[in-house]
Amino acid sequence: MGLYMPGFKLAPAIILALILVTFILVGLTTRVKGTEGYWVAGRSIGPLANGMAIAGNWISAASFMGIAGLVYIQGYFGLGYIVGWTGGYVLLLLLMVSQIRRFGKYTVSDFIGDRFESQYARALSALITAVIAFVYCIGQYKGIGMIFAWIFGWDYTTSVVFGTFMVLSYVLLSGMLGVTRNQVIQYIILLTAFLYPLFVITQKMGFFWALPQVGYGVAVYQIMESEPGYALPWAVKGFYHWAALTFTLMVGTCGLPHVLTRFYVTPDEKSARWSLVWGLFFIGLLYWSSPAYAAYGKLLKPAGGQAIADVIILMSSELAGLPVWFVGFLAAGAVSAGFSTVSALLMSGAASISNDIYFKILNPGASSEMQIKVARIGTLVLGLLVIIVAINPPALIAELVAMAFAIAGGTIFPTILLGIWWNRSNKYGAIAGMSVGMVVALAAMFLQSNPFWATYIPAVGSALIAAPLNLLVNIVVSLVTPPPSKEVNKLLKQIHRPT
Amino acid sequence: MLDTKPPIFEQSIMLPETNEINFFKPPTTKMRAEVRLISLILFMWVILIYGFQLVLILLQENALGESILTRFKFIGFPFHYWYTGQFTIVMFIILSVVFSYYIQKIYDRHPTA
Repeated sequence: MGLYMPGFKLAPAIILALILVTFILVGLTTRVKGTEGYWVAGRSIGPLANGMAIAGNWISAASFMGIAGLVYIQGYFGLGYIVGWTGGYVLLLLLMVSQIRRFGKYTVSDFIGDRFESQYARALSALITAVIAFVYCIGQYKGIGMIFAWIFGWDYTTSVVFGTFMVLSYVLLSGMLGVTRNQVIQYIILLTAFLYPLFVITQKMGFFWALPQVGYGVAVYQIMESEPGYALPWAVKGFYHWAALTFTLMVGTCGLPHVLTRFYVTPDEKSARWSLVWGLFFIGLLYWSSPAYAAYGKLLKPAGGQAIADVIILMSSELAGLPVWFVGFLAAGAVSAGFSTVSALLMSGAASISNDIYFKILNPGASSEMQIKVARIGTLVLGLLVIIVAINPPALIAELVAMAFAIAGGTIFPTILLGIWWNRSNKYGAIAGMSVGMVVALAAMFLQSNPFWATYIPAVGSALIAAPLNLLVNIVVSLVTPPPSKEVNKLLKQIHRPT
Repeated sequence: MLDTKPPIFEQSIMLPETNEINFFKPPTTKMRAEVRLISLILFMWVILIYGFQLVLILLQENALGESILTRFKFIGFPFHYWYTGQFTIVMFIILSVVFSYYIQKIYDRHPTA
């Protein structure tokens, strides 16, 4: 890392510290109430600001640095990550967001527990939530570690350990101070940090810099002429793998607890839908731009190959001649995206364990202090366990995160889908379906050395198999077991009644 | 909940067993309209993404996927690259706007069920 600018870089370190302190201060001083209080002037600003918050919540190290890294290595195939991570929102809008908003409770496990009238289903869903958080965090830790290595000039292992210490301190401190994550501010900071260098690099490289998202197209064409594999569709993997990847990322979007619960806090269902639309636009702004860094990287040819792919945004900037403090903005942006995501995931994972397993099942008499304590311990334990894998990460950042999507898409998505759209789906079907989906998704992650799995059930695309399998198992098992009680009908009527 | 029933033309026609929520057998007119719109947008969404890739396959001249669509220059880009990396996002936003607009009309037309 930092091959062209080795060693400790003061300016980026200061910028990073400033950004993190800003998040904490803003989160302390603009404490917002349940609906996140984006009522400025008229009602209509709500969905726009909410959309920015959704985008800020969504953008992690994978979006910020991982996609560019992936496109750098895998060319056109990497665009599948862009399609997958935006297209999923359409699916969410069509099939789930209105209904989830009408249900109005706090976690996905709450919904599953109530809809299927089963503490076991709730517990399984909570466990899956924690596993998803764990896998998702591995990718973030890798990103944080690589950027810290660049900023501080250390080796990767030291950087990951130090990064973990910093992120856990950040999470616990924010929790104890009662900081609400102001994701609007976050989005603005992230997008500025990401886009501003791109304008400058595009100009320096001689492309159409007024709109770098258009300007870099010429670069891609140039690369394609000397290295066809970069842009041609099936140079890296075939259509089946591309389809499996995009499908998995899209259904995964609809199964991620920290994405779904984001829509409970909109004021009503209409603003939930329009917030989603705006969110998609703001997310799109980043995703339209990511491949530009990859293309410039291909032209500037940094040394290091696959090992530096995930920090290609920094490498491209360095090689294009940007001063270190400018590149530091990118670095700080990536770290803050990672910190924020880890914070959200660890909190939702720990909340799952604390609320849905510990409180609702193991110890219903627990006081709220006890619950908070369990949540904090859960956060720490989960946060520390991630290091074990992050020390030697088995894949690129975006791939690691995609595996978390694969789990979500194979377990949570089909269960909620049937829960909403088919009254006959019952607890036995849900539990069986989630279990099958989980097994397939996890197996796909570990069995890639086996040719059958590598060909048909890739780790980043396993939901193509796991989700339909889950649906099938859910349907069959539900039909051969007793139907749900009448209470569920009331719940279903509620979530299908427009408010 | 409702002390006065809305006029008859505003009530959804309730078929027997409106508790039978089933995407493929929607029990009320509201849900039938809902499902129709969802299915339409979903279909367009699938064609948008996978239809184009299949066209790429149909037209391809070698195993890497080279074709007239990869050679055609569109605002500087190889056309297929622009389509997948940029145009699909645009279409996702358009599809979402269209859906949100029309689903609200359906909900406004069927306020009680």
